Amino acid sequence: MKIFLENPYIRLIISSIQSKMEYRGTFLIFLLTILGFYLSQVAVIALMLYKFKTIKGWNAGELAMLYTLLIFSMGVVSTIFSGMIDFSDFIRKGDYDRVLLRPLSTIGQILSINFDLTGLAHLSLGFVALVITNHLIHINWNFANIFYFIITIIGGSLILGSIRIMVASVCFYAISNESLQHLIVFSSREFLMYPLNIYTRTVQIFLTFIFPIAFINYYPSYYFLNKDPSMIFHPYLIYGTLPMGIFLFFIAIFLWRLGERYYGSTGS
Amino acid sequence: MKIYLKYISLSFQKAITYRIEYFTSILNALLYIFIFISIWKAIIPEEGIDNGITPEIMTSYAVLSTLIKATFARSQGFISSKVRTGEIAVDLMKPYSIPLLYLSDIIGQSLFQLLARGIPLLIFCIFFFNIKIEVELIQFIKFINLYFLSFIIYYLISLFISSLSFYFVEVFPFWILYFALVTFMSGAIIPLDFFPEFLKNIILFTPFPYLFYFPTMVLLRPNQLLINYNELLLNYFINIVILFIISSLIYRMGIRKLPIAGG
Repeated sequence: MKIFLENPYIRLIISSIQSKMEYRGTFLIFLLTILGFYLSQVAVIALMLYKFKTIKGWNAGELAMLYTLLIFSMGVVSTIFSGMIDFSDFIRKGDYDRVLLRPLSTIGQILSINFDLTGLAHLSLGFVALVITNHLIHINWNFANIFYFIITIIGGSLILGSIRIMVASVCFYAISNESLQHLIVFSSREFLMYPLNIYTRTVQIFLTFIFPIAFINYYPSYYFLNKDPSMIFHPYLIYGTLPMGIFLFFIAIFLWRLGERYYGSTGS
Repeated sequence: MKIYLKYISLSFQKAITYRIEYFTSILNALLYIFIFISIWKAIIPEEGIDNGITPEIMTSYAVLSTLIKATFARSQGFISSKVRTGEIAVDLMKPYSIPLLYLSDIIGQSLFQLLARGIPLLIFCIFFFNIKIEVELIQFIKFINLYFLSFIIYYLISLFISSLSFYFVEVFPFWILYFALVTFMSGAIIPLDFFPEFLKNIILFTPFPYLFYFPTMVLLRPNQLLINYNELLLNYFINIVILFIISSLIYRMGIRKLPIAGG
């Protein structure tokens, strides 16, 4: 336990949580409104289902499963990878130079400094979504399924986390990346609120092979829902989440290192 | 008056300088339009549903409502950052009104959004998504009226939330709450026609459907409006008067309790 607590990363994480807890009221209000925002997105889908019953063959329970997988991965990512958001501020103020001076991994430090407990609110929302899913449809939660569920969340989190690292790497060249971040990290998630098969073929290919976020919830949900996998490009894609996550993570680390080598401080 | 006009042109020019910002914002709007169109095409049957809404109508709806929303520029930090840094103490001594300056800032940025983003994207979408919007002159004038009125509503809500920064350390949560309400009931995504009757009647009592739903519908289905045009105008005025009273009250009371500059 003592060795664990003396780990520099753990200490950074603890001090980050402590500093956020200083403003407990703000923290709580922020949590509540974020939940309200997600609720409104779900309400929109609920309204569509109220009017039209299914969305291209996907019923309420199946869409709830889609949402469950997405929100769990989002929860893990916004807890661990929040340091990659607003990384441009970090660079602009010259804080990054301080990180470079320490004998620790740069990504590790940035993630630990900005460790964000708010993200865990997503997880509670994820459990609610999971309960609703189970209420609407039957999923057999045997050992294999639970195991694959965890694997999927890890893979999905790696995919989302890698995207955040790649977008943050842009800061080494361009300093400012806010709008790019808004587009790629946040808006693109909107695609995943609905099943991939509503989009045109080109977009399906794009979201599978080029910007592979469909692996976060669409493909693995075929596994959990026992849907006919002949509908998708290849039946093996339903197992692709973790491999894709690991693959992207390596690319992200590579791009980060590349950017780091280019980096030459803002001088502030 | 001159100073406010100057301010409008200033904030317009500021918006032009961020070029990458501009291109990504175009892509961002397209992304949403594309997703909404895909949904409507997937769930609405070719022949349309009971009240005559077809996939084509909803395609146009997705384009128009998203673009109208996109032309209302977001200016969230204008007043709250002044309050946080204390800059507002200096501003209060100057011979102009801060709410009007805020209005000028939003107008300038929104003009930029309209000219550089809204209109080009509309032309692009008309060709790319094959949408047909047949608009008669009288209908277009009605639209411009509602667009203008809904912009005023938008500004008054923004002023209201910004003025809360006199009372709270952080107003961003209120903005998130606002985004949530806009997502659900402004018609930005889903038209009021799809709501169950009781919900629809509640929402009509809030200012939100007047933001994007009615301006879009007056262009698309002028003869099947939920409320007839004259009554609609009346509702707009009622909303504006109420929001004006609330937001100026919150603002004035906020200024009075402001502790900076020895006041």
